[in-house]
Amino acid sequence: MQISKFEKIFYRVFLVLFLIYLLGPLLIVMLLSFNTSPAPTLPMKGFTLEWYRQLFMDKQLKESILNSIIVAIGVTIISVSVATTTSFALVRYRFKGQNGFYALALSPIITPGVILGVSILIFLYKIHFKPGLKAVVLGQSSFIISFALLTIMARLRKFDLSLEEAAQDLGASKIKAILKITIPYLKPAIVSAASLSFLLSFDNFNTTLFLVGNERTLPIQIYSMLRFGLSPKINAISTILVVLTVLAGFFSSRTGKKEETY
Amino acid sequence: MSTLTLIRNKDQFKRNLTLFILLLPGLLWILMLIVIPQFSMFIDSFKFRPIYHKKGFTLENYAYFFTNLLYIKIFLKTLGVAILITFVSFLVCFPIAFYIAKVAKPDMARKIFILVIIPFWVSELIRTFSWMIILGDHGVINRFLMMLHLRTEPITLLYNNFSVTVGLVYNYLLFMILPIYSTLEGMDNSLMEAAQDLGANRFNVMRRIVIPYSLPGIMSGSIMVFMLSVGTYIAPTLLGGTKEIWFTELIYNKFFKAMNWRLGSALAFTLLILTLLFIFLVIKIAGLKLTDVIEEE
Repeated sequence: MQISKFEKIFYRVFLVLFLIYLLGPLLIVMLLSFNTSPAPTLPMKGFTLEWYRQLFMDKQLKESILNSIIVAIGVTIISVSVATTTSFALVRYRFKGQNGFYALALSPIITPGVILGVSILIFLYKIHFKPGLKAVVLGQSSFIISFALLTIMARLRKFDLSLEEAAQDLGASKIKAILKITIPYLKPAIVSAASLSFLLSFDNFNTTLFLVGNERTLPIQIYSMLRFGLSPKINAISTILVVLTVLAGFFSSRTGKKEETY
Repeated sequence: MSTLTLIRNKDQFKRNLTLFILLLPGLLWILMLIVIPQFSMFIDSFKFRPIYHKKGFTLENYAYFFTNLLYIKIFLKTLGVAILITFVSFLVCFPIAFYIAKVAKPDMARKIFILVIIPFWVSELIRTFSWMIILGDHGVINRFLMMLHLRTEPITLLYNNFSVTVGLVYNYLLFMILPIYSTLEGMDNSLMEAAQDLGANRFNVMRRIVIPYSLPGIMSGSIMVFMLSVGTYIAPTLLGGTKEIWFTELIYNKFFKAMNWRLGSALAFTLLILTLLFIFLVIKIAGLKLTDVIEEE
């Protein structure tokens, strides 16, 4: 499309400002993790790895990382399994109340996380289920399943049923056909649903806060550190997390793209 | 009964059984984690506090809320700031989405796209923390201004509605960019060219062609940004401080500080209704379908 010179300049400037707004804060967080000053602010006074050393000494932090990993694995397993079976039911079958079921299944995506947390807390309390990591797994799954469902359904919808029928004509049972043909076809979607679930769980704060009780996941631990005041230690843990998540993000979108091609 | 109907019945039975087995995990999820919890929250909000030992239903929790000026003020402020955040997100994101979808060359567009998505792989908590470092009294901006001798005293940037707005726009703007981008991506460029050929200026092309075309995307984005903003706890607590309380903080305080779960339920249920109402209004205005809006993300 034809665009005037003025507009071109406008878009360029806007884009550069936007990218500074977007990436600047994270770069500053990372930069200040190497600053010798105990208050995380510019200017840089000197280079140090002291804050990283302190991280590795922090037992509570290590424990919270372990908790987060355990929770994320639990949530990932639940989300991917429930999402896969539900996708088959929704894509392959027509049943009464299907639209209502589908709307309810997607509703957690547009329900505030705080409300999911509070309502599940009330319910678990009624059935004498104590807050803690198990409660967090249930609470996070309540909305992460919806995201996994969207991912897996999108691919299952594109599946050519005749492939499964061909396998059956060649003597495979229905179940074998699904295991040998359909599930491998779904693999990319299952992998991206799993990584999405893991990431969403690992980062979750709003729902977790209400269900975690006295145990701590990593975001809850960082939050309580923040309440004591800003410290470059938080910059250090943030830097590690930024690097890890960005690497994981690149990795999963790479594999996702590769798998997509065949 | 003929053999044929018997076989048909058997097939029917088998089909229903498989469907039931496939649906069971999903049904359990929807019932145990969505419907029953939210319904019990709803019921609880109409009950007396346990310390009163009174049975039956009451409106006292809602009455307490709606006659408490401070609560009403916090509620309306949260609503107003969330709408502002949604609007600012739209203003910031629309040109970017348009640029990526329609102006930039494909190679460039892909690069910008990756740069835009990267920050959203990082946890919300860290993104919020970064703004505490930047906006604080001894933060990056204030240090910078004082170093340049532009100010002798720090400007208060943190712990007010400004910092909450900046932080929340930052946290959720991807949810605005993505749906607008995907509707614009699907738009035929010749629509804009035709309008230009017919004599429309650039402003009118935007107003009459591009914005109406991307309306479903704008609406999905607005719903997500509004809902996430109104329903988050973390950024308002860390960036709003103790002076500017967000409605979710009020809910948290009722549950864990005042230990008044019934009133907390009433507040939480009001927030849920507010979100639903907003979504309903937006969908009605734009004439969309709910499931399409969600799938757009």
